[in-house]
Amino acid sequence: MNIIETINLTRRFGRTEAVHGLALAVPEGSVFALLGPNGAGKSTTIKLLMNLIPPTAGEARVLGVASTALGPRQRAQIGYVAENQALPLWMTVREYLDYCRAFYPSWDRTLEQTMLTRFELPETRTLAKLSRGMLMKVALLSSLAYRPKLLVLDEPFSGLDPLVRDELVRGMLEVSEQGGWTVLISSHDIEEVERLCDWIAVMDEGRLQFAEATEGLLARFRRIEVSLQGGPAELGSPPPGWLGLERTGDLVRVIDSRYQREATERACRERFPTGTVTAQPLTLREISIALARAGRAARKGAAA
Amino acid sequence: MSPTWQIVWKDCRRLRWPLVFWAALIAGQFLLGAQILRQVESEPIVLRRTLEMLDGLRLILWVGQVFFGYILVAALVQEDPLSDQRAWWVTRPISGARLLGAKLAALVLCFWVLPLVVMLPWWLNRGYDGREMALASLQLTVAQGGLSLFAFGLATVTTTAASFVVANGVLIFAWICCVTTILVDSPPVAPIVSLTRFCLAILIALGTLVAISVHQFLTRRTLRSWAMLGAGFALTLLVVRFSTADWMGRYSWAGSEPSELAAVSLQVGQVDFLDNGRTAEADESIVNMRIGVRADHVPVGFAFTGGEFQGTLRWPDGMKLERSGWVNTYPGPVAWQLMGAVHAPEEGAGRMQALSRAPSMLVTARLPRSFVEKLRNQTPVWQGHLQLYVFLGEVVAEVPLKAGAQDGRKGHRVQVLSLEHAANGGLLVDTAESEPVLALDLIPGFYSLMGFGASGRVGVQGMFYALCSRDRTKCLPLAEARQLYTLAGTVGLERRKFSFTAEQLADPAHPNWLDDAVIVKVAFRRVGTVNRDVRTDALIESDFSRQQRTAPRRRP
Repeated sequence: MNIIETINLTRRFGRTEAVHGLALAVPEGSVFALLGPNGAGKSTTIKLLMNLIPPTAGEARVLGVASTALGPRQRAQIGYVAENQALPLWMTVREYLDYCRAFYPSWDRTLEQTMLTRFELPETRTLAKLSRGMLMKVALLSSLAYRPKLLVLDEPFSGLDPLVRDELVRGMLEVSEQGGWTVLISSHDIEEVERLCDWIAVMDEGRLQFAEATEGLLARFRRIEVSLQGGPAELGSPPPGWLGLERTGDLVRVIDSRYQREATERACRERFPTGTVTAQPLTLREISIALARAGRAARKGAAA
Repeated sequence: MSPTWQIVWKDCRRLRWPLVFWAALIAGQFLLGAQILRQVESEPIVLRRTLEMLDGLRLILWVGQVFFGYILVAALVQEDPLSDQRAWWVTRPISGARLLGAKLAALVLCFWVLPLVVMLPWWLNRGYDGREMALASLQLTVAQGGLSLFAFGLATVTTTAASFVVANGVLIFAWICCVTTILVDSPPVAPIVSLTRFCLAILIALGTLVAISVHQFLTRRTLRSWAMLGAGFALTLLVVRFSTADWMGRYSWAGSEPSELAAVSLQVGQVDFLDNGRTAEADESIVNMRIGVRADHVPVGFAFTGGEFQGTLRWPDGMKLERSGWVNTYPGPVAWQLMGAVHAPEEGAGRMQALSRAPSMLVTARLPRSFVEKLRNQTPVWQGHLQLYVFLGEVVAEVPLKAGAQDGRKGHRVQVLSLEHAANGGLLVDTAESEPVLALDLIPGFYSLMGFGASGRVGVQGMFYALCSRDRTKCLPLAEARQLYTLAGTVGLERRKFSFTAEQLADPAHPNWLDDAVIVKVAFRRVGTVNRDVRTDALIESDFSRQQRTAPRRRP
């Protein structure tokens, strides 16, 4: 079952199409990373999902309800943390948590206390006097303590130092171990979320490039290197699934997005009969970069 | 604590220090008001200057209170901004309706209950009873509610204090520019139509602000709210330019009429023509027609002070004049009656023309000069509608003529501060007074703007004072010299000096009457209106008017 679904979700700002025909499905229980470079449309997508802005076309359903009809009942099951979210800075940490608690019947005071201790938050200090990292911790704590069914994080680690980032990730992992929730996390840097996510979607220029389980993604992507020994001069058109085919001297490099050992080796031998084929796994970062490049190249080609 | 009250409590805590400052601005006005009532100086000029200085300070506090209060209302709304996607509340389980409810509750607490609590000691100090306090609270609600609604509405479509101030400035500037441009080119209309246009514009503006507030809280579609605001703005301009609605004619006739006045009959009969001279046109004169109105079967204590008319004058030769305007009245005789004066003393010569003691309508027309003489031979028929404001007079204070003495009822309080006996036998009495006023009195210049009479006050119109012996065998009208009149928290404050000449005070029959004399104050309070359709077969030119008729003046 999907906790978030979008159908042809589109949002335009004047002539700019920030999100175009987005079809996204976030499975329940997953930690879903929405990746892409700055301006890819991730934050706009999250704002559409949270009904912070209305869609120009299409529809989004969150927790089984149209995003435009999200009410207090659904919001009580959603945690939302964004890098630029306004917090009541004049309150102390304790006052802020007390204030939040009134709105959530499922607020877990034990969890609140545990996370307060883990994050080492000073309860009597006003939010205005906290560092950015501390503020994010407070925001995260106030969104976790009621054990939401869906946690939405919009660039939560942006601009944080690695130590704080690690603390936040560990805090989230600790809660996620208790199960029963779905996390949608947007980021422009895959390394930030690599440890957390089990699903990945990549967006670029408002379009969804792909969305897939991390495990499958890692399994089907390989960097293929073929050492040529007097092979053909022309690379020819690559078969479907080959991305970024290039030749440097006697070395041909390509990323195979449909890697299957035997089939890939066969395809290589057909094209480069005298070459030696090696296949190396890719990191999520390399995969997302390769896909983004391929997507842009395809759109340029189509536009031309 | 429920989530709604949690928001209310949060807002109150957030604004606590600004609210304390705001309350101090209100309380400061009362302290200055109390000082205005206490200040004693032997030299009248020094006293007047001191009082004016105190009142100036009070005015500064009042302006600060209004301005700061206006900004505070906006701050209350913007504490949880509606047009900011980054706002905390929008992703929390708080519905727009709940937030609106919480903001309204906070608005009532901070901007109604709080000033009420601050004003209460002042009202008690000025002798307000339960009824007066309820009325004053109502006035506070109207004044504070109207002001708050403007700030509340505009704050829902702005995000920061700066954008709120800019939006206000732009809207006010645009409105003034548009209205000025419109009025310069528009044909002149009757004052009552102008008044109706003004009231309609205010109502539409308030309605628009209510609509965008609710819309913005429930939908957070800021662009659409601005569009609604623009539409309301345009509608007010259309009303200001094109409305011909006349509330006097169509709506305000249905006034409240106290049951005691059911038997009252109104008749018009006498007319007085006053040729006020030529206009720029060679063969044209401005003619004032003062039409007398007689009211019969008026119960004791009731008086008509002011009113409106709308009607048509028809002459036998077919000439027709449709006019509307104000009715002039003077309730002096009723005041003497209420004081229990044995005989109504003559008032100062020339103070009030005899005709104006009874209700009369003033009709002004530009007529051909050849017609002016004809008017005297062919007096017109009048048919129309009269609405007279009914006031109930009552004695509200009887203060012994002794320094330090005070008395008052129904929110009125009169205190004799000092008595000065002049060398020539005259007497100067310095008094301090406070009295309840209506909400509209809180808007400086409102009555002047609306074209009301010089008294400027409808709420407690017609104060009459007399120095009387206890048995009322001797009553002197008081020649007053007002030192200051001002307002503080729905309370009118007055400083007067009453002077008596030795001749006035002398009474050979009762040489010691002053020892037991009291200053009597009669106040008239508006209790409703009397509405009658009136028709006469012929107006009769009054004898009095013949004597008073002015000779035609020629323009150079």
